[in-house]
Amino acid sequence: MSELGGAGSGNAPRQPAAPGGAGRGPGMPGAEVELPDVAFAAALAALGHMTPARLRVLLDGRLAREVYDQLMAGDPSLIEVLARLGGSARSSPSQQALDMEVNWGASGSLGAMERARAQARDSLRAWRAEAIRTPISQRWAELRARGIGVVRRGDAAYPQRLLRARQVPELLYFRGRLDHVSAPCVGIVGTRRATHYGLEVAAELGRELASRGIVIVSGLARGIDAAAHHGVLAAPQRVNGPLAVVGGGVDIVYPRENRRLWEDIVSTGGLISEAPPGAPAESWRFPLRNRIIAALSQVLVVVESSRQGGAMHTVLAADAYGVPILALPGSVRSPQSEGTNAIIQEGGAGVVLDVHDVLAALGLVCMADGTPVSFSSFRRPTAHGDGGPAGGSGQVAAGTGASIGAERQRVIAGCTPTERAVLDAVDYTTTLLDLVCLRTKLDLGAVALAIDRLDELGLVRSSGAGWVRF
Amino acid sequence: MIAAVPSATLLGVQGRKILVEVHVSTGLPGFTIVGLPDAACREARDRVRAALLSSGLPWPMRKVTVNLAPSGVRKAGAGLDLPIAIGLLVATGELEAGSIAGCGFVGELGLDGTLRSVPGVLPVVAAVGTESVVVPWAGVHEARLVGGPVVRTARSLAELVAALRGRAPWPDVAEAALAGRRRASQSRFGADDEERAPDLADVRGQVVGRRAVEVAAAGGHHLLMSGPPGSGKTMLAERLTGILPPLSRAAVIETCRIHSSAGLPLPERTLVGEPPFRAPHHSASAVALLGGGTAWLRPGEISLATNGVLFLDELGEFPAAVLDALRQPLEEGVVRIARARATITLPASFLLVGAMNPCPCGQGGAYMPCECSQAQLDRYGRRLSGPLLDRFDLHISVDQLSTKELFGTEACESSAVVAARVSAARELALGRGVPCNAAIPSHRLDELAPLDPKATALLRRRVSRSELTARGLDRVRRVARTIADLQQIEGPVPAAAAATALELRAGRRALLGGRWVA
Repeated sequence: MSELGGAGSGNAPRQPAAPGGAGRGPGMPGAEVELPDVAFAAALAALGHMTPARLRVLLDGRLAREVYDQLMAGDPSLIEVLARLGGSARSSPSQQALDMEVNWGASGSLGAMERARAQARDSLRAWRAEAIRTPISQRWAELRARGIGVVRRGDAAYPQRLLRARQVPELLYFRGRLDHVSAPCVGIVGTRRATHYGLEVAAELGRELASRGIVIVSGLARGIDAAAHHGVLAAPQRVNGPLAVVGGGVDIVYPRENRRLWEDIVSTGGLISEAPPGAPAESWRFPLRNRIIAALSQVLVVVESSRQGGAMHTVLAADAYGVPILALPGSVRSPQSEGTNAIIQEGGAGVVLDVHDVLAALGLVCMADGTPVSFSSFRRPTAHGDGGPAGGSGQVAAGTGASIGAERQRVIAGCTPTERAVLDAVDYTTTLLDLVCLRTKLDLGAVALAIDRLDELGLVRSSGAGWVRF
Repeated sequence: MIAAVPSATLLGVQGRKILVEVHVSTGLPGFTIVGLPDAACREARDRVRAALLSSGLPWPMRKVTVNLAPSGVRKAGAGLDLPIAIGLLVATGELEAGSIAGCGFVGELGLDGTLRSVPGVLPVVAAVGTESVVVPWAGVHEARLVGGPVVRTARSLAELVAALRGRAPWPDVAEAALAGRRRASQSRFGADDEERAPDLADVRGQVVGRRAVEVAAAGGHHLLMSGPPGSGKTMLAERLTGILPPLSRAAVIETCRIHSSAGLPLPERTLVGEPPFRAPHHSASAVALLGGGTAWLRPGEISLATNGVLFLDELGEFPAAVLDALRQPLEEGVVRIARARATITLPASFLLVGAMNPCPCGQGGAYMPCECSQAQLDRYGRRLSGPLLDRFDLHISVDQLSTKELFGTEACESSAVVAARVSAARELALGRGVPCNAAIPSHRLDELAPLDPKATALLRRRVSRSELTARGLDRVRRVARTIADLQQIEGPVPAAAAATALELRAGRRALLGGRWVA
């Protein structure tokens, strides 16, 4: 059932790479008879200018080797299939990706159709030449040697939740493991240009959720994504590693600064991509990647995002698939919280204040699914009955929040008036000490002393250049 | 006939006494200079000949030998032109030997007989060691700072010979000095130069920044500021010289001597006691910064900044090797330059002020994360070696405050008010027997900078949380002592001073943190 680092499901014994002699041509498919079907699918996906959409219409639920043989034989029916996709099969992939999102498949005028056919013919010719150059067994051997697994839609290991995606990915490449997708999944997404606040909350949510057995799905981008993954890896009693969905090939580390994180995720969790290995992380692939994150998640948490941010693509996709969305409220002055605040205001998302809000949302979803909710930590910390997920899950967060708030109020009440004045002068975003002095009209020495005490009490913390209320 | 004329040349920032001996005898006409002259010195023959002929004086058609004693030492520059010409005139009988008795000569000759100034008139005149010294017209104001020998001058060789022969009065040195000073001030910033340094009252809102420069001035603590462009780093640094205590007479002379040796005009403000301010561009080479070079061992920027402030803007852009070369001078207060030719020790006790952007793109302030990749940030963080970073007792983050927050803030203290506090604090340090608090040795901290119980508890907490190393603790204690001194607290350092000292080092946190660390 599970795919532990292996390549493909139902693998037949590997065929040794046959020498690519002159005698091997499209007419001799029998040489590769023992390769699994996904090997053929992977070979098709690796062809130049093969986009997910093109792959999908070519395969169309059929056996991949059938389609491969058709391609090698130059079957004209494929021309018709590709031409119907609309747009040009040779047009730029980014254009193709955009077309796909709108009204793909609609036939245009007769002239346009003719042009599309001509272009489809050209690209099929080019693909055939390419397929002859690189024997399929060689491609397959390479994938296996590099520990890259492939699952196709319909395989047992294929994540079932992906089937609700708008355009179901035909093929997924992965490194690490994939079996933990069946556990409850929470997506954590957000901007790459995050604030300290966002990074901290993302890491905290990642850590807290992971230690309760929940799989965190994110995009392994800079900023919030990386922070969430880091949080998962730092979780004390982690059951499952993070699940990262990347835009480029699973062997292309992007951004470079995440190299360490990338390796850690491969060794503890899973790294998946729709793009074939070696595919660069081009910008058109990221919106496609985001729809996978949305489809895999049972609850999507947006930590920080501007109005136009990439995380908003994920939010739109999640909304379309009926995935509950939670957003972290932020300062109304912070550009990084504009998007999240807006979706909260428009009613598109619930508010997440701490991990219990996510658990509550998840509990509701899982019960609606009929999935048994098994994470033992999902209990109300205050006296609200036996702590089952059913009733009053809404009060879970409220209860916790109130008790934390009361504790904090008690600590603040114990402060001197000077300390309270200094605390009031520190914002929830980075505040320079200069500003605290100006606001309180206190001497630097008095402010420094008060800040030290507030730091000790855990009411403020240093953010490098300044201080943040905590 | 033989003549001997006292003079001196320059090595580093020191003058070296030279006796110019001229021997004229029968033989094939010729002119030889011995005693290790450099190229400029050897060319003196042609300049002297042309100058004598242009001034209507005879050139002997005899064998002339010039010896520069002590002959084992290399002589550099054209400053020996004048003593050679005078020696020649005495040796050929044009001048009586008595007329130059007790008189030294320094200066370069133009082909028309003009007397030109040379670098280092001040140290050179101090080294000649005669009752009176004749210097070029343009060097008079420097020569008069020496205060020892009687300074005489002339505009040209003809004028000088006339005065020596007693046929004309000596030109007025006071007039020459005035002209020299006017020229020095014009050569820098123009007419404004008479004004004092910019005032600290102009810096609004930067509470931490203002306090940091005050503490730096009072305790001699080196200061590093990081902040995005336009946040006021340069503004703060420029105002530092205005709050440092005025230079003593000896310090003024030393600073002038170094400037003179570098061939620079005397800093006009330094003449009235203001410490020098040097801000070399980050493309500066190691030699430009430390001193050295081929012609004569020229003092570098760190020596020019002696008794004052060396401001290194864009510290991260300086070559790493150049920055690391600063470590020894920072520790010892002098720089030793060793070359095959000579080894010299130049003064280099300055207050180092560094400024840098928080990251390569410069936009990563307190409020916004920037576009720099982690790799770029790591590279940038490594630019400053740990040992150099450790030399900075004060390390602050500077950032712009919004106009809204600044609006309505009352006017800040002026430089004069702060300078008074700084001077008083320095007095306290001197009373303890240390030149400044930054120089308190670690083993005397308990004696000179004891902490009161609350301050001890505060610092102990930071140490136990690994936010402060043992070395960092010593530096914080020195800074805290200065802060207490500024408040005229002579006893144990209170907790508020310790907390402030920690905050004045918070920039280290920003340099090492300020990025995501799991």
